[in-house]
Amino acid sequence: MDFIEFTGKDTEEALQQAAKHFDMPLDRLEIEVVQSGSNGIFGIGSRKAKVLARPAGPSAQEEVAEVLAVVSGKAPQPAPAAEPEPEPEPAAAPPAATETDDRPDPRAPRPPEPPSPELMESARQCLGRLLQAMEPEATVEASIGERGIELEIIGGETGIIIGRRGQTLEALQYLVTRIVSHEAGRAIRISVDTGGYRQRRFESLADLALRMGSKARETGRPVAVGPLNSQERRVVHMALRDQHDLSTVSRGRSDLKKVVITPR
Amino acid sequence: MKDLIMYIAQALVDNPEAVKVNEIEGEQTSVIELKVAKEDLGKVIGKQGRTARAMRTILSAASTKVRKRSVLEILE
Repeated sequence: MDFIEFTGKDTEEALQQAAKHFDMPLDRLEIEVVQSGSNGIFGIGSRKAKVLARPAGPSAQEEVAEVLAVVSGKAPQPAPAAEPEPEPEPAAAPPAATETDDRPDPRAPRPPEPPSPELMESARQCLGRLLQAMEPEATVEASIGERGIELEIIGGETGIIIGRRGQTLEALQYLVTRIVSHEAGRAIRISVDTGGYRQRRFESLADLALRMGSKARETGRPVAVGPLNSQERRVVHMALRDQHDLSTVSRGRSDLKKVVITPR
Repeated sequence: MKDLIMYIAQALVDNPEAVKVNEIEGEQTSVIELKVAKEDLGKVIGKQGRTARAMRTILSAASTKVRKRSVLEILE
């Protein structure tokens, strides 16, 4: 049984989520605290607590079963259906063999693309140039992080830079990505943020995904979230990727689509 | 506004020397006409018009400052 990720304001809340999800006391769960929460300063830089949890019982047997499967030359996934579970929980069902089409596979390695300092600098200048007509007093700081080249807009009127539902920030990120990728002759990942807006949006989106997931599970009906852009959809898919009793599929034809969460 | 569109278009296309931008100023609205080499047309429009839309979004964000609307027209 895979670990499932739970988040909360603090570790305590995340643990309660886990206990509630599995309907088990905490001492029967295997817990790993990924990140303890922090409030940050004025909400900037605040982090959610994140824990991984799974029922403590069957995992050992499952691992043995996986090892046996590997030894006998069979694929280790999906786990045998006749797995003895301590409680018949739908969440404990083995993962389905077929993944939905645009659902990101977290195990697939990203193509290696270490952006050079020169590219980072040209991304920084490009964004600065785009902001000139809009917010001349804004400045740009650049770094290289897990989201590729990360650009942070400092100063200026935040409301104008972000735009309605984040669309100006989105347009800036899209154009900078386009321009720098064109210059480099290959796809470069660039993320543009200001005042932690994107971070906050992603976190609240992941929370929403989990809530809508519970709703779908409780009502037994599909629940739609959105319309969202591709990055936002990814957050929803990822937030629910380990909840094997739920499937997530993007619906729609423009670059804004809804994500439909369906109980299996 | 004209300079902004000129910069973006030239940075996106393969033939920057073929980019022409013309601004027609009206009282409340100015129209910015963008012309690029035929083979670069897709680059300034983008998949499902996404690049054109992003340029228009940035244009309108920049326009709120000067209180004058700008409209982007891409000429074929």
